[in-house]
Amino acid sequence: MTNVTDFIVVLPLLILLLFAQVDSAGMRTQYNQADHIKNQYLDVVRLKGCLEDSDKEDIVDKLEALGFENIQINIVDSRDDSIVYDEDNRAIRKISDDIDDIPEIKMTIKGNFKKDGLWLSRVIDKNKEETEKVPFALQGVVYTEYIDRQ
Amino acid sequence: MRFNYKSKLNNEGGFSITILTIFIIIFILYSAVHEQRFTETIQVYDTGLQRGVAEAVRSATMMANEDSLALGKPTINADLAHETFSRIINGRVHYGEIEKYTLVVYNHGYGNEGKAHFYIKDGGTITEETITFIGDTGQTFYITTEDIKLTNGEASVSFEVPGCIALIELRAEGNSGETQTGLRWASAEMVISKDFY
Repeated sequence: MTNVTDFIVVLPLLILLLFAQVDSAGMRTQYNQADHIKNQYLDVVRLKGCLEDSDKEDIVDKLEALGFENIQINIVDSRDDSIVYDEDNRAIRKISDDIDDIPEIKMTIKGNFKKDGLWLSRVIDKNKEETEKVPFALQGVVYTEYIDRQ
Repeated sequence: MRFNYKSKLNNEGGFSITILTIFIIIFILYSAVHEQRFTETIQVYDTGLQRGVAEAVRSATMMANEDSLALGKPTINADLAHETFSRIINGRVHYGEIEKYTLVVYNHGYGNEGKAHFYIKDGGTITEETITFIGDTGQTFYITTEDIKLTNGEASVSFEVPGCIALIELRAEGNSGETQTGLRWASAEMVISKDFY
Protein backbone atom coordinates (compact mmCIF):
# COMPACT_ATOMS: atom_id res chain seq x y z
CA MET A 1 0.00 0.00 0.00
CA THR A 2 2.90 2.31 0.85
CA ASN A 3 4.39 1.84 -2.61
CA VAL A 4 1.11 2.62 -4.34
CA THR A 5 0.92 5.80 -2.26
CA ASP A 6 4.47 6.62 -3.34
CA PHE A 7 3.42 6.19 -6.96
CA ILE A 8 0.44 8.48 -6.55
CA VAL A 9 2.70 11.11 -5.00
CA VAL A 10 5.21 10.79 -7.84
CA LEU A 11 2.50 10.79 -10.52
CA PRO A 12 2.26 14.61 -10.75
CA LEU A 13 6.02 14.73 -11.39
CA LEU A 14 5.65 12.18 -14.19
CA ILE A 15 2.80 14.12 -15.74
CA LEU A 16 4.80 17.35 -15.48
CA LEU A 17 7.81 15.79 -17.20
CA LEU A 18 5.65 14.39 -19.99
CA PHE A 19 3.79 17.66 -20.47
CA ALA A 20 6.98 19.71 -20.45
CA GLN A 21 8.52 17.49 -23.12
CA VAL A 22 5.46 17.64 -25.37
CA ASP A 23 5.10 21.40 -24.85
CA SER A 24 8.75 22.01 -25.65
CA ALA A 25 8.65 19.78 -28.75
CA GLY A 26 5.55 21.55 -30.00
CA MET A 27 7.14 24.98 -29.69
CA ARG A 28 10.34 23.84 -31.40
CA THR A 29 8.33 22.38 -34.28
CA GLN A 30 6.43 25.66 -34.64
CA TYR A 31 9.76 27.49 -34.78
CA ASN A 32 11.10 25.13 -37.46
CA GLN A 33 8.01 25.76 -39.59
CA ALA A 34 8.43 29.52 -39.14
CA ASP A 35 12.05 29.14 -40.28
CA HIS A 36 10.82 27.44 -43.47
CA ILE A 37 8.45 30.35 -44.14
CA LYS A 38 11.30 32.80 -43.58
CA ASN A 39 13.43 30.93 -46.15
CA GLN A 40 10.58 30.95 -48.69
CA TYR A 41 10.16 34.71 -48.38
CA LEU A 42 13.89 35.30 -48.53
CA ASP A 43 13.61 33.91 -52.07
CA VAL A 44 10.85 36.44 -52.72
CA VAL A 45 13.03 39.26 -51.32
CA ARG A 46 15.90 38.16 -53.53
CA LEU A 47 13.79 38.32 -56.70
CA LYS A 48 11.78 41.45 -55.92
CA GLY A 49 14.44 43.47 -54.10
CA CYS A 50 12.04 44.04 -51.19
CA LEU A 51 8.85 42.63 -49.66
CA GLU A 52 5.61 44.11 -51.01
CA ASP A 53 2.74 44.83 -48.61
CA SER A 54 0.86 41.80 -49.91
CA ASP A 55 3.88 39.59 -49.16
CA LYS A 56 4.14 40.96 -45.62
CA GLU A 57 0.45 40.28 -45.07
CA ASP A 58 0.95 36.72 -46.32
CA ILE A 59 3.79 36.17 -43.85
CA VAL A 60 1.74 37.53 -40.96
CA ASP A 61 -1.26 35.35 -41.91
CA LYS A 62 0.88 32.22 -42.18
CA LEU A 63 2.69 32.84 -38.90
CA GLU A 64 -0.54 33.62 -37.06
CA ALA A 65 -2.02 30.38 -38.36
CA LEU A 66 1.06 28.61 -36.96
CA GLY A 67 0.54 30.09 -33.48
CA PHE A 68 2.52 33.34 -33.41
CA GLU A 69 1.42 36.94 -32.85
CA ASN A 70 2.68 40.56 -32.76
CA ILE A 71 4.75 39.92 -35.87
CA GLN A 72 7.15 42.62 -37.08
CA ILE A 73 9.06 42.36 -40.34
CA ASN A 74 12.14 44.43 -41.18
CA ILE A 75 13.87 44.60 -44.57
CA VAL A 76 17.08 46.65 -44.43
CA ASP A 77 20.53 46.73 -45.97
CA SER A 78 22.74 44.42 -43.93
CA ARG A 79 25.68 46.87 -44.15
CA ASP A 80 23.62 49.92 -43.17
CA ASP A 81 20.45 49.46 -41.10
CA SER A 82 19.24 52.95 -41.98
CA ILE A 83 18.58 51.88 -45.60
CA VAL A 84 15.11 50.34 -45.69
CA TYR A 85 14.00 48.41 -48.78
CA ASP A 86 10.34 48.62 -49.77
CA GLU A 87 8.20 48.99 -52.90
CA ASP A 88 9.43 52.55 -53.40
CA ASN A 89 13.08 51.70 -52.78
CA ARG A 90 13.98 48.26 -54.11
CA ALA A 91 17.47 46.81 -53.89
CA ILE A 92 18.73 46.76 -57.47
CA ARG A 93 21.27 44.27 -58.76
CA LYS A 94 24.50 45.69 -60.12
CA ILE A 95 27.18 43.94 -62.16
CA SER A 96 30.48 44.57 -60.48
CA ASP A 97 33.75 42.90 -59.56
CA ASP A 98 33.42 44.28 -56.03
CA ILE A 99 30.97 42.50 -53.76
CA ASP A 100 30.33 45.67 -51.75
CA ASP A 101 28.62 47.19 -54.80
CA ILE A 102 25.88 44.56 -54.68
CA PRO A 103 23.06 45.28 -52.20
CA GLU A 104 22.87 42.72 -49.40
CA ILE A 105 19.39 42.51 -47.90
CA LYS A 106 18.75 41.48 -44.31
CA MET A 107 15.25 40.31 -43.40
CA THR A 108 14.28 40.07 -39.71
CA ILE A 109 11.01 38.65 -38.41
CA LYS A 110 10.17 39.07 -34.72
CA GLY A 111 7.17 38.26 -32.60
CA ASN A 112 6.05 35.93 -29.86
CA PHE A 113 4.23 32.66 -29.37
CA LYS A 114 0.49 32.97 -28.76
CA LYS A 115 0.52 30.35 -26.03
CA ASP A 116 2.30 30.98 -22.74
CA GLY A 117 5.41 29.09 -21.89
CA LEU A 118 5.23 26.36 -19.30
CA TRP A 119 4.26 27.79 -15.88
CA LEU A 120 7.28 26.10 -14.36
CA SER A 121 9.64 28.46 -16.21
CA ARG A 122 7.92 31.42 -14.53
CA VAL A 123 8.25 29.73 -11.15
CA ILE A 124 11.95 29.09 -11.73
CA ASP A 125 12.69 32.52 -13.23
CA LYS A 126 11.21 34.91 -10.67
CA ASN A 127 12.34 37.95 -12.68
CA LYS A 128 9.99 37.12 -15.52
CA GLU A 129 6.63 38.88 -15.49
CA GLU A 130 3.48 36.82 -15.24
CA THR A 131 2.17 37.96 -18.62
CA GLU A 132 5.45 37.91 -20.60
CA LYS A 133 5.11 35.80 -23.73
CA VAL A 134 7.83 33.63 -25.22
CA PRO A 135 9.53 35.67 -27.98
CA PHE A 136 11.01 34.42 -31.26
CA ALA A 137 13.24 35.98 -33.91
CA LEU A 138 14.31 34.89 -37.38
CA GLN A 139 16.86 36.47 -39.66
CA GLY A 140 18.32 35.84 -43.12
CA VAL A 141 20.59 37.56 -45.64
CA VAL A 142 20.43 37.48 -49.45
CA TYR A 143 21.99 39.33 -52.37
CA THR A 144 19.39 40.98 -54.52
CA GLU A 145 18.67 39.71 -58.06
CA TYR A 146 16.12 42.39 -58.87
CA ILE A 147 16.72 44.25 -62.11
CA ASP A 148 15.04 47.56 -62.84
CA ARG A 149 13.62 47.08 -66.33
CA GLN A 150 12.06 50.55 -66.57
CA MET B 1 22.82 -6.61 5.19
CA ARG B 2 21.93 -7.19 1.54
CA PHE B 3 18.78 -5.73 0.07
CA ASN B 4 16.65 -8.71 -0.96
CA TYR B 5 14.88 -7.65 -4.17
CA LYS B 6 13.30 -11.05 -4.74
CA SER B 7 11.47 -11.17 -1.43
CA LYS B 8 10.43 -7.56 -1.82
CA LEU B 9 8.91 -8.27 -5.23
CA ASN B 10 7.26 -11.49 -4.10
CA ASN B 11 5.66 -10.23 -0.89
CA GLU B 12 2.90 -8.37 -2.80
CA GLY B 13 3.74 -5.15 -0.96
CA GLY B 14 3.68 -3.07 -4.13
CA PHE B 15 7.47 -2.75 -4.54
CA SER B 16 7.06 -3.51 -8.24
CA ILE B 17 5.21 -0.21 -8.57
CA THR B 18 8.27 1.62 -7.27
CA ILE B 19 10.50 -0.18 -9.77
CA LEU B 20 8.08 0.58 -12.57
CA THR B 21 7.96 4.27 -11.59
CA ILE B 22 11.73 4.52 -11.67
CA PHE B 23 11.87 2.93 -15.14
CA ILE B 24 9.14 5.25 -16.42
CA ILE B 25 10.99 8.34 -15.17
CA ILE B 26 14.24 7.16 -16.78
CA PHE B 27 12.42 6.43 -20.04
CA ILE B 28 10.75 9.85 -20.10
CA LEU B 29 14.03 11.65 -19.48
CA TYR B 30 15.79 9.58 -22.16
CA SER B 31 13.07 10.21 -24.74
CA ALA B 32 13.02 13.93 -23.88
CA VAL B 33 16.74 14.23 -24.60
CA HIS B 34 16.48 12.31 -27.88
CA GLU B 35 13.40 14.16 -29.06
CA GLN B 36 15.18 17.44 -28.47
CA ARG B 37 18.18 16.21 -30.45
CA PHE B 38 15.87 15.20 -33.33
CA THR B 39 14.20 18.61 -33.68
CA GLU B 40 17.55 20.36 -33.22
CA THR B 41 19.03 18.29 -36.05
CA ILE B 42 16.18 19.27 -38.36
CA GLN B 43 16.58 22.93 -37.48
CA VAL B 44 20.36 23.08 -37.72
CA TYR B 45 20.98 20.87 -40.75
CA ASP B 46 17.84 20.63 -42.85
CA THR B 47 16.34 24.07 -42.37
CA GLY B 48 19.55 25.94 -41.64
CA LEU B 49 22.52 24.39 -43.40
CA GLN B 50 20.78 22.91 -46.47
CA ARG B 51 19.00 26.15 -47.34
CA GLY B 52 22.13 28.09 -46.50
CA VAL B 53 24.38 26.13 -48.84
CA ALA B 54 21.76 26.26 -51.62
CA GLU B 55 21.47 30.03 -51.29
CA ALA B 56 25.25 30.49 -51.06
CA VAL B 57 25.91 28.42 -54.20
CA ARG B 58 23.20 30.24 -56.09
CA SER B 59 24.57 33.64 -55.09
CA ALA B 60 28.09 32.53 -56.03
CA THR B 61 26.90 31.47 -59.49
CA MET B 62 25.32 34.89 -60.01
CA MET B 63 28.71 36.62 -59.75
CA ALA B 64 29.33 36.97 -63.49
CA ASN B 65 32.41 38.64 -64.99
CA GLU B 66 31.43 41.98 -66.53
CA ASP B 67 33.62 41.53 -69.59
CA SER B 68 32.30 38.04 -70.29
CA LEU B 69 28.73 39.31 -70.21
CA ALA B 70 29.60 41.91 -72.82
CA LEU B 71 31.09 39.16 -75.01
CA GLY B 72 27.91 37.11 -74.71
CA LYS B 73 29.67 34.18 -73.03
CA PRO B 74 29.17 34.78 -69.31
CA THR B 75 31.61 33.20 -66.91
CA ILE B 76 31.80 33.35 -63.13
CA ASN B 77 34.28 35.56 -61.32
CA ALA B 78 35.76 32.76 -59.19
CA ASP B 79 37.27 34.84 -56.37
CA LEU B 80 34.14 36.96 -56.07
CA ALA B 81 32.02 33.81 -56.09
CA HIS B 82 34.05 32.36 -53.24
CA GLU B 83 33.79 35.57 -51.23
CA THR B 84 30.03 35.67 -51.76
CA PHE B 85 29.71 32.03 -50.82
CA SER B 86 31.63 32.60 -47.56
CA ARG B 87 29.55 35.61 -46.60
CA ILE B 88 26.23 33.95 -47.26
CA ILE B 89 27.06 30.69 -45.53
CA ASN B 90 28.49 32.46 -42.46
CA GLY B 91 25.39 34.66 -42.32
CA ARG B 92 22.97 31.76 -42.66
CA VAL B 93 24.49 29.28 -40.24
CA HIS B 94 23.74 30.42 -36.70
CA TYR B 95 24.74 27.27 -34.83
CA GLY B 96 28.07 25.52 -34.64
CA GLU B 97 31.29 25.80 -36.59
CA ILE B 98 31.81 25.18 -40.30
CA GLU B 99 34.68 22.75 -40.10
CA LYS B 100 35.19 22.03 -43.77
CA TYR B 101 33.82 23.05 -47.12
CA THR B 102 34.67 22.59 -50.77
CA LEU B 103 33.45 25.05 -53.38
CA VAL B 104 33.95 24.31 -57.07
CA VAL B 105 33.53 27.16 -59.56
CA TYR B 106 33.23 25.68 -63.05
CA ASN B 107 33.91 28.03 -65.95
CA HIS B 108 33.68 26.03 -69.16
CA GLY B 109 30.81 25.93 -71.54
CA TYR B 110 31.69 27.60 -74.78
CA GLY B 111 34.26 25.21 -76.25
CA ASN B 112 38.00 25.95 -76.27
CA GLU B 113 39.58 26.24 -72.83
CA GLY B 114 37.89 26.47 -69.44
CA LYS B 115 38.79 26.10 -65.78
CA ALA B 116 37.43 24.69 -62.55
CA HIS B 117 38.53 26.44 -59.34
CA PHE B 118 38.46 24.36 -56.18
CA TYR B 119 38.31 26.34 -52.92
CA ILE B 120 38.88 24.03 -49.98
CA LYS B 121 38.56 25.03 -46.35
CA ASP B 122 39.85 22.56 -43.78
CA GLY B 123 40.18 23.84 -40.24
CA GLY B 124 41.35 27.45 -40.46
CA THR B 125 43.11 27.35 -43.83
CA ILE B 126 41.67 27.85 -47.29
CA THR B 127 43.49 26.49 -50.33
CA GLU B 128 42.76 27.02 -54.00
CA GLU B 129 43.41 24.61 -56.85
CA THR B 130 42.74 25.09 -60.54
CA ILE B 131 42.11 22.46 -63.20
CA THR B 132 42.10 23.37 -66.89
CA PHE B 133 39.76 21.74 -69.38
CA ILE B 134 40.43 21.88 -73.09
CA GLY B 135 38.09 21.00 -75.90
CA ASP B 136 34.50 19.78 -75.66
CA THR B 137 32.30 21.21 -72.96
CA GLY B 138 30.51 19.20 -70.33
CA GLN B 139 31.97 17.86 -67.10
CA THR B 140 30.62 15.64 -64.34
CA PHE B 141 31.56 16.20 -60.71
CA TYR B 142 31.07 13.53 -58.06
CA ILE B 143 30.15 14.32 -54.46
CA THR B 144 31.39 12.01 -51.70
CA THR B 145 31.24 12.28 -47.92
CA GLU B 146 34.78 13.67 -48.00
CA ASP B 147 35.14 15.82 -51.09
CA ILE B 148 34.09 16.77 -54.61
CA LYS B 149 35.95 14.75 -57.22
CA LEU B 150 36.19 14.19 -60.95
CA THR B 151 36.24 10.39 -60.69
CA ASN B 152 33.46 8.67 -58.75
CA GLY B 153 31.20 9.21 -55.76
CA GLU B 154 27.79 8.74 -54.23
CA ALA B 155 26.13 11.60 -56.10
CA SER B 156 26.99 13.43 -59.31
CA VAL B 157 26.25 16.71 -61.07
CA SER B 158 26.91 17.38 -64.77
CA PHE B 159 27.58 20.85 -66.14
CA GLU B 160 27.21 22.05 -69.72
CA VAL B 161 27.48 25.75 -68.75
CA PRO B 162 29.30 27.60 -65.94
CA GLY B 163 28.13 26.77 -62.45
CA CYS B 164 29.10 26.01 -58.85
CA ILE B 165 28.95 23.07 -56.46
CA ALA B 166 29.59 23.16 -52.72
CA LEU B 167 29.89 20.55 -49.99
CA ILE B 168 29.84 21.73 -46.37
CA GLU B 169 30.47 19.96 -43.07
CA LEU B 170 29.00 21.56 -39.95
CA ARG B 171 29.78 20.62 -36.40
CA ALA B 172 27.15 21.74 -33.90
CA GLU B 173 26.74 21.17 -30.20
CA GLY B 174 23.18 20.56 -29.12
CA ASN B 175 21.53 21.52 -25.85
CA SER B 176 22.21 18.04 -24.54
CA GLY B 177 25.94 18.71 -24.90
CA GLU B 178 26.56 16.11 -27.56
CA THR B 179 28.37 17.28 -30.71
CA GLN B 180 26.86 16.36 -34.04
CA THR B 181 28.47 16.58 -37.46
CA GLY B 182 26.47 16.79 -40.68
CA LEU B 183 27.17 17.21 -44.39
CA ARG B 184 25.05 19.01 -46.99
CA TRP B 185 25.70 19.88 -50.63
CA ALA B 186 24.10 21.93 -53.40
CA SER B 187 24.79 23.02 -56.96
CA ALA B 188 23.69 25.80 -59.30
CA GLU B 189 24.43 26.73 -62.89
CA MET B 190 23.84 29.70 -65.13
CA VAL B 191 20.72 29.57 -67.23
CA ILE B 192 21.60 30.85 -70.68
CA SER B 193 19.17 31.02 -73.57
CA LYS B 194 20.18 28.97 -76.59
CA ASP B 195 20.45 31.98 -78.85
CA PHE B 196 22.45 34.04 -76.34
CA TYR B 197 25.74 33.38 -78.02
